[in-house]
Amino acid sequence: MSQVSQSALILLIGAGTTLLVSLAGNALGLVIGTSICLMRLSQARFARAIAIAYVSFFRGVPLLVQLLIVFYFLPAVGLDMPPFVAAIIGLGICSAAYQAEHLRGGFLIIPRGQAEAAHALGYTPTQTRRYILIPQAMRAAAPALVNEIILIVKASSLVSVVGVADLMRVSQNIVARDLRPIIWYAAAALIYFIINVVLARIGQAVEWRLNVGHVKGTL
Amino acid sequence: MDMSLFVRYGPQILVGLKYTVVIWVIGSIFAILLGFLLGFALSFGNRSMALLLRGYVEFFRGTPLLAQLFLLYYGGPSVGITLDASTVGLLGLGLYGSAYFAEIFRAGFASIPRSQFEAAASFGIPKLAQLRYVTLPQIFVLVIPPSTNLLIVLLKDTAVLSILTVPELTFQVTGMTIETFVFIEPFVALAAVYWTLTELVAFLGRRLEVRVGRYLQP
Amino acid sequence: MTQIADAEAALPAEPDLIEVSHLSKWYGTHQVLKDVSFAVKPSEVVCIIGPSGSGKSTLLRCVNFLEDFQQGSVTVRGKTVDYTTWRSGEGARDMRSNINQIRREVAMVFQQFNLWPHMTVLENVAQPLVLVHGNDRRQARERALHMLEKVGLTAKADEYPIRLSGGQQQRVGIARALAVEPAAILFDEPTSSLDPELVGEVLQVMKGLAREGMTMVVVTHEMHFAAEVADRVIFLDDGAKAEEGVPSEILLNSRNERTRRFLQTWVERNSLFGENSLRSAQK
Repeated sequence: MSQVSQSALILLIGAGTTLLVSLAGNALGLVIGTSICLMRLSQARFARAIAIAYVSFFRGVPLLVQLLIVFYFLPAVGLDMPPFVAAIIGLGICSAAYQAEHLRGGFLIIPRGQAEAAHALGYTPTQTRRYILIPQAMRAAAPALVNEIILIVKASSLVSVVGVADLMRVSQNIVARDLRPIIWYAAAALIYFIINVVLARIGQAVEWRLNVGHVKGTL
Repeated sequence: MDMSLFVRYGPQILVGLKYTVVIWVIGSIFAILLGFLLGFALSFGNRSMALLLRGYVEFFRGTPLLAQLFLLYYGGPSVGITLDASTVGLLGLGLYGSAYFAEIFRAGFASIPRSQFEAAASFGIPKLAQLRYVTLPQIFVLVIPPSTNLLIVLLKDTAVLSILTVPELTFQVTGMTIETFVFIEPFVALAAVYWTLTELVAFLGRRLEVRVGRYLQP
Repeated sequence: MTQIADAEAALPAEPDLIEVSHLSKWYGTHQVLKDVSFAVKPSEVVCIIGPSGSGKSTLLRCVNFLEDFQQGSVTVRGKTVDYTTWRSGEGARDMRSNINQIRREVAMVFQQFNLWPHMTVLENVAQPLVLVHGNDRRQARERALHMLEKVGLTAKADEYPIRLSGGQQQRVGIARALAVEPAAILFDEPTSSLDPELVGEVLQVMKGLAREGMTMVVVTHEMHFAAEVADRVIFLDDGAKAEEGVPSEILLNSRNERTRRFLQTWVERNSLFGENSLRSAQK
């Protein structure tokens, strides 16, 4: 196999790593973000305060700094993890702050009467949340959540700094050998672009599927 | 933790802070101005220009900032563009930001109902005056929240410049941690500094929103 | 201090199903309900009328605690929730349990229908049966279908609410309320959001329920309905009960100045037919 095709293959593997890290980070972010969102909306003032502080901090600090902190913090508390895992954790914690806000937007858009009907019929708060509010909030937040995946893919370019062999890191390695920066960095940029376009398409399809028969413009 | 660390590295950190703020401010101004022109051209220009500009915008919005910076910094010399790290950082941030501002302004222009222009035209007001007295004041209010957001994003993205060895804040602190082998506390302090800065900008943005949006209050 | 008042111990001839006693509510310094009291006996239809902002909906929503209140008490089927229980922390669990039980016995139909858009019509009607009343899925489905039949919407069982007209959605809302076999149904301006041509189908269903002996408390602007169906009409003005009586009294021969003023236009428009609709109201 020629040098170029070998490098191209490596590039694609790097792209795969990028996708993996991004999707895993996004999934983690959704789980954490849902908890933060529920805390944000809870009756307990303390829980609300923590959620507000969380969102403010992780949206107010550069991702790079967050990744560096996670990268050095984990071994310090005895959790020796490969950079790959540390990166997923870092991305997840950061993304959670954004996803929590998107979900909160989804909840806020639900008309009050929905929960009132449930309460009037004797639903407990937990039942109301689980059967009435969360399904609708998720549906409303879906566009923003899908967009979040696209943003994470771009942001994941920073994990190259903490030693993950993602698309950026891999292209850097290739350029170090090959000495033709424009071709390979442009190729990397193009791959990011294509990934985003594809994700956007998938996102549109998912949204369409969710809304069919349910929504006529608004909930 | 040894507080004397901060004293010893104080000057370097201040240099870093200066770079961060200066690059952010100049880069943002550049991004806003260029973005405004692009947004205007996208809204009112002819088809072929709009298509070209759309390509520009999609490129800068669809690829990571880091990839763009690498292309410019490492790839530039191959086509005769040899710039130092800070210039690349500034230019890169500015071009990146301009694409996002272009979208914000385009959306702002698009929000003005056609009837406004018709009303102005019927009074015989020339296009430029229209822009200045009719269009701009109205989109100003609409444009501020997403712009504040974007400015905060750009501030945070100055940290990415450290990868290019631009001597801004993150670069200086990273250097400090490498020399002293103390990692967590400096980075946490660094995070606190960014947090303070971004909250400040957000606060000012909210105040501006209120000031400018007064005429909308019933 | 016992928090649960059990009225069953002192039974008069016909115990009140719902009793609202000296209810007062403030929003900040503004008093929206002023010492309102009324009672509803089983199978009675009570209509609450009055100008916008008079507190009619608020009053109704206090009965099933969608709104809280600062003074007074609400008793449904012997379970009471009163001001002192609400405000003090004592017996909070008993109080919550009372509220819960009251909500299981009294259903509500809303002005905005409040159907859940992400579930089919059938699921809307059946789910409360499963979640609150412990039915298994099959039982719930059967009962839900039965209720939909009652309101004439079996054909729409598997549709989503978005596809139904306003009148159809409200009928589903009524089916949902009926399905849980409530002791009484509260109607909060059930036809106010409907296009005029759709109002009839909903009122039709409601009249049917009244004929069958369902206990109903209806906040409404539809005076015809009140004239035809109500056993009693309450006129609420600025948060206070201004007048209460049988429809013929209130609607045609009110002794109260404010009531007369409020009903002025209606009476004028209906003086020709007024007598007839009242005759049909003899139950």
